[in-house]
Amino acid sequence: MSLAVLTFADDPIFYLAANLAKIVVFTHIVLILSALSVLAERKVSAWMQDRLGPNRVGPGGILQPAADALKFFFKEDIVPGHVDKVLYILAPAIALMPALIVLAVIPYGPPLTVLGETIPMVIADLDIGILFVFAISSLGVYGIVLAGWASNSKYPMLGGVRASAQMISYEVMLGLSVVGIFMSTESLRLTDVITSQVDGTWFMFSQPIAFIIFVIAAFAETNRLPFDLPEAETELVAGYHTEYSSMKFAMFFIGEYTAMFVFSALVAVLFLGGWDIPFMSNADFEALGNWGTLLGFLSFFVKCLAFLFFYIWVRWTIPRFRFDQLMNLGWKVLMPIALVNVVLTGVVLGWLGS
Amino acid sequence: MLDFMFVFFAAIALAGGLVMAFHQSIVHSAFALVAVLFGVAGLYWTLGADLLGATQILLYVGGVTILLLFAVMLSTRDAGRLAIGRYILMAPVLGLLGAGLLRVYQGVIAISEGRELTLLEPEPTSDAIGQLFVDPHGFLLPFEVLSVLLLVVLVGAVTVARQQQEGTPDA
Amino acid sequence: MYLDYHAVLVFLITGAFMVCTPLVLGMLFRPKNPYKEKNLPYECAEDPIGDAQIRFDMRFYTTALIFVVFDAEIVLMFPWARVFQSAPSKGVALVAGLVFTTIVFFGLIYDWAKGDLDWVKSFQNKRRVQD
Repeated sequence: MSLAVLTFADDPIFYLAANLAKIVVFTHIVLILSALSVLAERKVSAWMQDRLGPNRVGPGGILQPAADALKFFFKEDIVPGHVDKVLYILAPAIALMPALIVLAVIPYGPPLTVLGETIPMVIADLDIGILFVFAISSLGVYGIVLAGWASNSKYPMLGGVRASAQMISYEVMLGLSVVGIFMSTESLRLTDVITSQVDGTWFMFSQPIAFIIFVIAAFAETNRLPFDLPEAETELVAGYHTEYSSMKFAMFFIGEYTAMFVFSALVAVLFLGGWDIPFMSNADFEALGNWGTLLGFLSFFVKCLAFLFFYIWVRWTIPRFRFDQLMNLGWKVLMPIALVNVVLTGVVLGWLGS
Repeated sequence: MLDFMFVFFAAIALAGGLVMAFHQSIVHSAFALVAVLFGVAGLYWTLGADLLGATQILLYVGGVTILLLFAVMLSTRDAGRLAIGRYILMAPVLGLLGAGLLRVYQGVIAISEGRELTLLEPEPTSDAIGQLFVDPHGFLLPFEVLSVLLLVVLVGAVTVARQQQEGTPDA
Repeated sequence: MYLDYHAVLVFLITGAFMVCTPLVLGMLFRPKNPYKEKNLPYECAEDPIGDAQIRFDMRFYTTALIFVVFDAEIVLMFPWARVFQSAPSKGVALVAGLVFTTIVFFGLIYDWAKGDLDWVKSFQNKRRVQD
């Protein structure tokens, strides 16, 4: 803590430059990955259904996201006459912002050393990292509920209301499932969670119940199949973004995929060891210096991409839940299990420690 | 820098408060309330209370205001617009309250006048708060009483909501 | 600590800039050609009937109520979880957590027993009346 303050006082320009560089690089990596995961979604879906998928723009369709972006950019932006103008225009931006801000506390790799200064590969290593994540991701519901309400149209309204009830319900399971992890790490800092996993076991193995609950809740929070009721195409057209077009529609789209990436990253950080590579310790990463950073960085993104693939895989495997099934699963199954998990972790840790 | 941040967040909170008080539509008001709560959370962070700031956003912005929005959407559309005239009667009372508050601030300023204020880099607070929660001589009892309070809320509020639900036909 | 939050603030401003740029910039290039049908609510080519901002079901409100309570519980549990292992007396910490969790769990059980967690309750009630 005091070290960082000294660095700032000594060389504020270096600090600011490093910070801005990190922000620009990481957000662009994530946004480009989100755009590519839209393509991946279509490609993987096609393979699973024995089709070709997009293959016209660029080699193997790799430039499809760029073509989509250009199209979004040049399409007419319809603001229907019956909407609540201010909130209608604000909603897409509000939908994307929370997912983006959570990226600020995600550790992408071990610290990097540049010009003798150690730069942590996380934009803001907050002491209450996990609470910050939950606080900000809980705002994601605003974009959707405001889009649904401001559109003043029936399908968006139904989609928005469904989404808000679903997201707030599963937020509880999300928060409760990870309490056990923080009981064993003794810190709410996300980097500490990773370093404790690098030298110990991944929480996927020591907290399997929490892992399963967190993954289910992550699917519900991002409104993905099997929990995509807010935008169930067969019932609600497109749910809360039915009335949106052009770049505003794209914002919801990017927001959704960025949220998927954020939850993949959270699963990687909390359960899959973050930048850890099996059989490597913290000392190994330090000994490798910047190469260790690069290795850790790659390992982290491989885990994120694997989980993103899992998202798409599940989409074509499990049918959609009904809304009462969704609520029952959350409140009557996952909630008691998550509470029992906390108690169990407490008893085991207390027993082992004494 | 700190002064600037304080003024910045205070301005956000105040502007949000004004919009909240004077906007005709309740949904817009609720949304302005989010700005107020964010401004106040920013003030908490500026003053070094990081856990409190995060809690404020998680609970009030992510929870209570959503509840408020739901309540607005539960009511009919006409109720979504407030007749400000009915509340103008309350202005003298609010004015008196405001004057009293100003008097208190005046006292605080008089006490702190001429004293040196040294600002230290604040330390994260979550550890200290957690330690108090498990200390029998600290806040262990309040921590447990809080759970009873949450239980009462869970039972009471839901009971009230249920009675209203049964009162309305086919809600 | 300020330094971390400074970074968050810089990120927030950069993020807002990145979000707003494409929204605003595109306005220069986009065609604008509204006509009556485009301005109607989308209802699969049907003429819309009535207002969309309807009163919706009370169940959503009940769910939100229960959510706020458990949100508060989680926020209180994180500082407790953080110091659990380093507490002066681990037994006291464990009992504190157990009692806290159990009391709130009773609330969940109460709501469960009273049927506030049932999503299709109104339907069941109607059937019960008919029987």
